[in-house]
This record gives sequence, C-alpha cells and structure tokens, in this order.
Amino acid sequence: MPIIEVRSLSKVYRPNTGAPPVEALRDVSFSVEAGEFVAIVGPSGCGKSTLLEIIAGLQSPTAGEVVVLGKPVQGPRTEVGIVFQEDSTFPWLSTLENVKFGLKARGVPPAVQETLAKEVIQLVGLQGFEHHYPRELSGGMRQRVAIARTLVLRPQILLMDEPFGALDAQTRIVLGNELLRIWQEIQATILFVTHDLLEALRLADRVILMTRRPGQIKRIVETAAPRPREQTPVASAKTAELANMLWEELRQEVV
Amino acid sequence: MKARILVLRWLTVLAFLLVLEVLPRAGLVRPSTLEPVSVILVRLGEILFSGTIPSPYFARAGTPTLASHLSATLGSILVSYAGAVLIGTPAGVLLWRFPVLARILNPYLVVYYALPIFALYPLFILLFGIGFLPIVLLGFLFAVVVVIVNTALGLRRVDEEIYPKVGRSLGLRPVQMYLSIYLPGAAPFVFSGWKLAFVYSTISVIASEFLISVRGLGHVIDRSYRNFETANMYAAIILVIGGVMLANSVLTWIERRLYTRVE
Repeated sequence: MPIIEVRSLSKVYRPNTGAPPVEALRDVSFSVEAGEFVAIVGPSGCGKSTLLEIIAGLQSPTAGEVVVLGKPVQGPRTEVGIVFQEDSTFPWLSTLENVKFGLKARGVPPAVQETLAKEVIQLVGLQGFEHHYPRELSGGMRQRVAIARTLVLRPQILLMDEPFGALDAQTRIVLGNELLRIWQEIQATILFVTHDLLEALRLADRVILMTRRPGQIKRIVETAAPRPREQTPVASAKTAELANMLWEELRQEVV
Repeated sequence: MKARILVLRWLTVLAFLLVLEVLPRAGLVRPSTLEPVSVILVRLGEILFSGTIPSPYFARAGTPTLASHLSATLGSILVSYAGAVLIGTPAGVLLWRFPVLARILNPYLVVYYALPIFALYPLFILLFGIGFLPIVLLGFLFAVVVVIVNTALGLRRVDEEIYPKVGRSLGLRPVQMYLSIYLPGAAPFVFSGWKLAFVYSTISVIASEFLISVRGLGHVIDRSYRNFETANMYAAIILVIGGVMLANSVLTWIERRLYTRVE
C-alpha cells in the first residue's frame, strides 16, 4: 500500500478582493511508496508548493483528497514534516533552541529534547554551532537548521518545498549529497519539489513532471540510477540523456 | 582617526559651552535670558545637594523641595506611560486579531496621529481642574496611539513571514502559536512602540506642567522663567533633558538587543 496517495486533487483560489479565481491544480493523482525519494519538477507557479502544502495539511483542496498512511489528511500530522524554501529558522532562537522547538511544543521532557536535538544536529553537520543564532549562520547552514528542526520529530514522510532554491549552486550540490546520506540513514519517504531538472534527476527515484498552471501531471519517469549516488556538477551520460528528453517536454511549459 | 574624531567632537561641545559662558559675562546677552554656564551648573549642584530650590517664590508656595517636584513629574509620567502600555498593547492585539476592527478604525487612527491632543488642554482644565488627573490623561492620550499602531504592525509583520506556517506544520496549539511565534516575532516592533510612548508621555507631562500644575519640573521651569530666576530655570531644564536622555539610552539599549536577535 502506498504511503501517500493523491487522488484527483484540484485547487482553485478565489481571492476575496474580487479578482478572478486562479486554478492552481487540476485533477492531480499519483502515489508514493514507503521509502521512496520522489521529486516534483515544473515551471514556476505551476502549483508545486500548493500541492505540497495540501499534502502537509496546511491547505485544503477544492476537490479530491490526499491519503497519508491510510488516513485522509485533514490537518498537519505528526508523521509528516515539511521544509520550506525560504529561510524559516526562528531568528530569536539559537540553533539548539530552533531544533528543540517542535519537541518542546509536544511536551517532550527537557533531557530527551537535549539528546534528540544533539543527535540531529550531528546528523546535519551543525555540531559546534549549537549556540549560534541564525543571523550568525550562512544560508546553507540555516537551511540545515530548518531540516534538523523537522527531522528531530522523526517524520515518516519528509516534504521539501524547493529547500535549496535560495542557495548558490555549490551549496546546493553539497546539501543534495547530504540529503541523500540523511535519507538513507533515517529511512524516510521524501517528496521533493524543485524547478531544477538535474537536481531532481540526481536525487530522486522517480521524477514527476508537471505542466504550467493549472498544474497537471505531464509525465512520471524512473531515474533508475544505482544507489548510493554521489552528486557531481556534471551528470552521468544516462542522466544527461534523460534530462535532455525531459527538458524537451518541460520547455513547452515554461512561459 | 577614530580617536581624533572623538577629540574633535568633545572640543565642539567645549567650544559651545565656552561661548555660552562668555556671552552673558561680556554683557552681550542679558542675564534674564542666559546666565553663564558655570553659574547654572553651580546652581544645579546646589539644588541637587541641598534638595531645595533657592527661590522665594517656591518657599512661599510651600513647595521648595526638589523631591516634591520630581515626584510629581515622575509620578505623572509613570502613570500615563503605564496606562498607554497596559491599554495600548491589548488594543493593538485586538486590532490585529479582528481586521474588520482595523478597517473601521483606521481613518480615525490616522487622524488621531496627526492631532495635537495637547491643544485640548483648556477642555481638560474645565473637565478635571488643575493637577494630577488632567496631566496624566493628556500624557496617556498622547502616548497610547503609537503603542496600539506598533503592536498591530508587529503582529501583522509576523503574519507576512513564514513563521506561522512553520508553527502549524509543527502542530502548535493556538496558545503555543501566540506565545512561541507571535510574541517573540512581534517583540521588537511592540517595544519600539513602548519606547516612543515613553518619549511622548514625557513631552506631554512636562508641557502640561507648564500650564495645568502647581508642582513638577515643568512647573519649576515655567515659574522660574516668569520670576526671572534664570539659573533655576536652566538647572531644571538640564535635569529634564538629562533624565530623558538617560531613560532613552536605557530603552535604546534594550531595543537594540531585541533587534540584533532578529536581524
């Protein structure tokens, strides 16, 4: 049984300013198996973020439904964690306090908070920066803090909304490799939204290609490269071939 | 370079004080307008050490002690300021929480901002007489708006950030959202409002004391001026300015600490 099932999902925004309604998603269906790494690629504004937020329970769909772990999604769930594109670390908290944030909210005893947080900080490579504030960290490190804050809650499903979108090319590759390592270590399911075709092909088992707005699924491809993988700036010949083929399709969607 | 600028900065202050010293001594400015700086400073020291204002007027009025005036001014500032913070902050929260309220009240708030409340002082004398109550009310009315507006602004700023979404995704309950996200997120803006409110209530209290009081540092400045006790007047002015600068630097220090954590 798939861990995430998206069934004929549609989303229409009706602004209360009287502006015409915006159709963000139209009849989107797919499913993700437990332990899979799936990437969603599409042009800007194709409703990728909306899709992810509906799966996370942060928005409700206009039609259709999402079933996670056999239960329909009605709001944020403890089994599902989400990492956002923009810097979402709390600037008034140190790295350690940021990572502990969700644990504290769930009433985990302080001693356990400390142990779990330290473990995850080690996992994302932030040891030595526990007492730094976000303003003292680089963009890449802040995103590590945000990932750690989500991971520490041990979600079975990790939703990532262009998590490396605001970072420079080198940092993206480094963090991509780290993400693969972390994914293998925590055995979670990852749904990863990006507009970077190569990034999607390098990281994911399957890539879902979306059309421009209203977002529909155009194509789903298996990358089928062996694991473990190491990302390099230039993709392998096979990946390059796949990328060129998908680019032909994506090109028609980019406006 | 830095040291030289510092030296030059203090030299300008010294030069300015020297001019103020020389002008009255050379007879270029009348003593009723300006006493030499040295005379004023000696008078200020005298007042601070003896605790009384050397003036026949205040002796006759029964308020010769500095403490009687200082306590009146500080009391009025504290009560009007506390009122502005304690009423303005929750009012700002309501304004943010209920956007309809904000839309209804917005034109009034904008007008109120521009309104010189102090011009209504005759009305306040008619309604409340002379003394503590009208002064505190004017100070409160003068200071409360900036607290309301800044509190609502700070909370709205948090809403524009991604933090509330993060909070929901981490499963925070509504109370936790307020305490762990909105409170720390809005704190710098709310505090800026509190700081401005302190300045506003101080301005209003001192100015009110010129007109509708028989005690207070503002009253001392006004009476000394009318009685040609120029040294007393400047001593009181220095006390007011010094006190406000001290309070302001403490508030600015706290504010900077709040902001550096956020920026």
